[in-house]
Amino acid sequence: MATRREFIRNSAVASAAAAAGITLPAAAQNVILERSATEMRWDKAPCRFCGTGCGINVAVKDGRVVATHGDVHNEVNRGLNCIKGYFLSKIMYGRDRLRRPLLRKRDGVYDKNGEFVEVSWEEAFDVMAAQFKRVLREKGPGAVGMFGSGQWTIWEGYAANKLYKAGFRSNNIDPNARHCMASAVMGFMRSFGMDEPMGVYDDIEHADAFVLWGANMAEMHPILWTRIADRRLSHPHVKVSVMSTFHHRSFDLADIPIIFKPQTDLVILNYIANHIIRTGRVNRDFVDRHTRFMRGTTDIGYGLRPEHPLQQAAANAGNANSGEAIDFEAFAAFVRPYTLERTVEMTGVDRGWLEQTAELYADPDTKVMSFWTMGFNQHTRGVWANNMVYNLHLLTGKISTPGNSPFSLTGQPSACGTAREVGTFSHRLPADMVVTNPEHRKKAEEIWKLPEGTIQPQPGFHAVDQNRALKDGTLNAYWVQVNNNMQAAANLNHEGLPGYRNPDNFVVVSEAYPTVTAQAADLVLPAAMWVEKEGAYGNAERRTQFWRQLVDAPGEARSDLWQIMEFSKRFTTDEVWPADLLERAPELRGKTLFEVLFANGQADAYATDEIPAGYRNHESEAFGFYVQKGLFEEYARFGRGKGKDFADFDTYHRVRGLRWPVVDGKETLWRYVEGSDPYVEPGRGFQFYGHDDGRAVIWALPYEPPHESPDEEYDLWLTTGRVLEHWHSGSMTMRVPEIYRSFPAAPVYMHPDDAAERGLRRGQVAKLASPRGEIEARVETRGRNRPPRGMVFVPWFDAGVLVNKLLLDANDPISRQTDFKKCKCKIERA
Amino acid sequence: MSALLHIASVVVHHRPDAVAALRGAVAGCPGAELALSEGGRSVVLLEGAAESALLDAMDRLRDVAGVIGVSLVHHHAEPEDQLLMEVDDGHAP
Repeated sequence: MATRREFIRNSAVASAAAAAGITLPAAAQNVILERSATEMRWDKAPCRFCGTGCGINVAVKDGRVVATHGDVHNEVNRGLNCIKGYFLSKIMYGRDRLRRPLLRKRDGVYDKNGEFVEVSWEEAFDVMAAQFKRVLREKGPGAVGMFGSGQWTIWEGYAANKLYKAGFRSNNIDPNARHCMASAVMGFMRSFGMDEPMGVYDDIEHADAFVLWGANMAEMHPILWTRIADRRLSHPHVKVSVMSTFHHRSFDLADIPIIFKPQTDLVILNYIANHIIRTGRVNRDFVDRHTRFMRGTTDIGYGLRPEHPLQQAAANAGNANSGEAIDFEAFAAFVRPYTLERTVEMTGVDRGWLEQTAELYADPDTKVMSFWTMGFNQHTRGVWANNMVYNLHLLTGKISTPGNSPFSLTGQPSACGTAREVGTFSHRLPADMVVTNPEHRKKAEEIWKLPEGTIQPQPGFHAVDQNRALKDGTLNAYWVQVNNNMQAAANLNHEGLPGYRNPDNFVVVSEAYPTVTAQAADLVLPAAMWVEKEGAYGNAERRTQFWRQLVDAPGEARSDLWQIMEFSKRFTTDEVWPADLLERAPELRGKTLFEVLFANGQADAYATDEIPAGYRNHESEAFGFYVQKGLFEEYARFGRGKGKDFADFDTYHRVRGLRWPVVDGKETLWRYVEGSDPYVEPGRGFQFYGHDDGRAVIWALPYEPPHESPDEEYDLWLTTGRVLEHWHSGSMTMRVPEIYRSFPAAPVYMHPDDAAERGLRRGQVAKLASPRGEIEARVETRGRNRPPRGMVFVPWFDAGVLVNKLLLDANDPISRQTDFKKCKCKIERA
Repeated sequence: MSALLHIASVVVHHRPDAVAALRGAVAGCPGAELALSEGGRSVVLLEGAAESALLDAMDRLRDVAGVIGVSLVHHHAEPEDQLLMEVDDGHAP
């Protein structure tokens, strides 16, 4: 006889050995076979945190998740798991988990200035529907909106997109992915005409060099980092270049360490392009056959309100996403001024490091992978930076082949799968289609069985404009799901909070925990999370992964999907659609939006008996049909035959994810290359079929200065970001007491000389001020993040240290993604 | 219900010559055990009633010179009394 503890210890060692590829002693192998004796049921699910998309095995005992381990059969993480995975079994069990709807009330009725009181779902939706109907009646569809998330499951984002763009006929729906991925999306669309990477994680095991453009993968993408470390340590010729504005953990593996001045990444990118051309290493055959050149419009402003002086001064603020065709010679002349000397002077980087990094791209025998995340994307020239790194891979033809891979990393588990592929942005429809294109609207209306003209042709409010419109009182009924935007968005004192508390507005927040955003709302709806519902996510390498509902949500918490669909029952077409639209579809008169959107003969086409025995499925039980399958199969019609093909629904429940396009049951690893991508015509070699001519675009774009730089009064750069232990705004990880203790309050990381000059020592409390506001934080001069002189770094997970209120909501004029990485500040003793 | 007992296993990626330093660090962490080691990879088993101690141990391992990464593989948390129950392992002598 043995104890369960012994079984579990042995299992833990065995699964770690399998993940590490270490041979297990024979005795230990026997014990693992006895897992059934431990009375747990194991199922697969993707991790709920970042965009890497690691596979997890989840153990349930007595209706509760008791254990997790990395899924050794999942190709992404091969059994490993980062420290955030440690908390997967605990994120659902925080003491302050929301269990019932909360409505602000005074004297028993809704009052914006009242206190939160528990109410029934019935009352919550009654009040919410009355408010939405009032706004729709008085102001029309332009005054209702929604802020969603790259953490929505695929069907949640799809249902929300449908409810708003088709049901309410409002394009005012945008995901928080606007804050993290919008520049990446526009970068892909401008260079390739199609979103998402051409390569896959498998490139890591083929590459000879890795270049990190601002990304701190050691902390933010640790599992991919271990794959890079494995490659680097087992193949001595492999080189790693790490570029950042401050020193962090990824520098431990750096052969080429580079600290550059903020915004001068644009200079380095053009210097490398110039280096490739100057040293005669352009792959002319590839360039001539598969690319063309454009010069981008410059002087495009900083996405601020029109009256801001920086916007007034910009010549092309209204015309940011445009350009003119040029040829190779014009491009070469454009980058020629970006010499090594000038680059050294502007970036502050040693010439040797710059040359060595340039050679990783220029040398035809070096297979190179580029990685970036928020350093490029949260940048007022973020789209440009994305285009400019593609330039380097296109000039050399180092793309779409194993090991040659410009790779845009993702921060959220389904920023790709939901926000981007489902098209929950205010200008997008599923499968890369846009609301401004009449053909695209027509196709969506056909698939959705709706009359022509249902979808509005103008883009709605994007994330930053939503906060501004709430403040200005032009957006009045607003629903937020799965994100903490009050903490996450920039400039919260001046835009976010006044908008939510504007007396004209009714703000609903669906959340699992009482976040800052939930506390600023008028109605809080308790949400189910992760394995409390059946779900699907799409990761950064185009991998779509499914999971089943494994446990029940606590109390009356319900999934976002149930909330969206149930709420849609409270509206009829006569209440929300104009007469002329109803005339074109008389059969839809008097029907509820639920009937029109979800019980439409397609989304309700599958019976609940298709759900395997032993699994709950709350939404399907509630609505009487297999909701997730119906929605997914309807959604999949958008991408099939367009290079965005999905497999059928049931397949994804069997496999550990598949990378689209999935054609004839086979996933695609490298896109745009013959032999790997079934969409490339025979004989073409490469075909960038997102553009009709099959060519990718090399963009001539300059360095332009940042929106703000240190000056005499505000004499330091402030940058923000994450730390390993916490995930984004900390609304889940801060719920776990132990992790909270391991990293209790967000510090301000600064250079010891900068601290000493201000009379500050490590551990003291300092006051940080910008023209927007001030915060207090403890000074940290040691440890994992070490800024150079003149720069400070504050992580943003801590609701007690709301660093984002110091930032200006300047954004990229093409993607409208906010720059969280640069503003001026000053620091003194508190 | 008795207090939770936590059991976790981690894979440590390290430069091959860092194993001695790693062994020393593991010895300094209560409840930690270097279960397996091969080349640049080791498996460390962690157990304890205080989850923070497990996290501290992971931090300490990560700080060892030559360690590139510490990845969690398995995490189990259950009331201690249930974990100490005996089960039939099916092939006991």
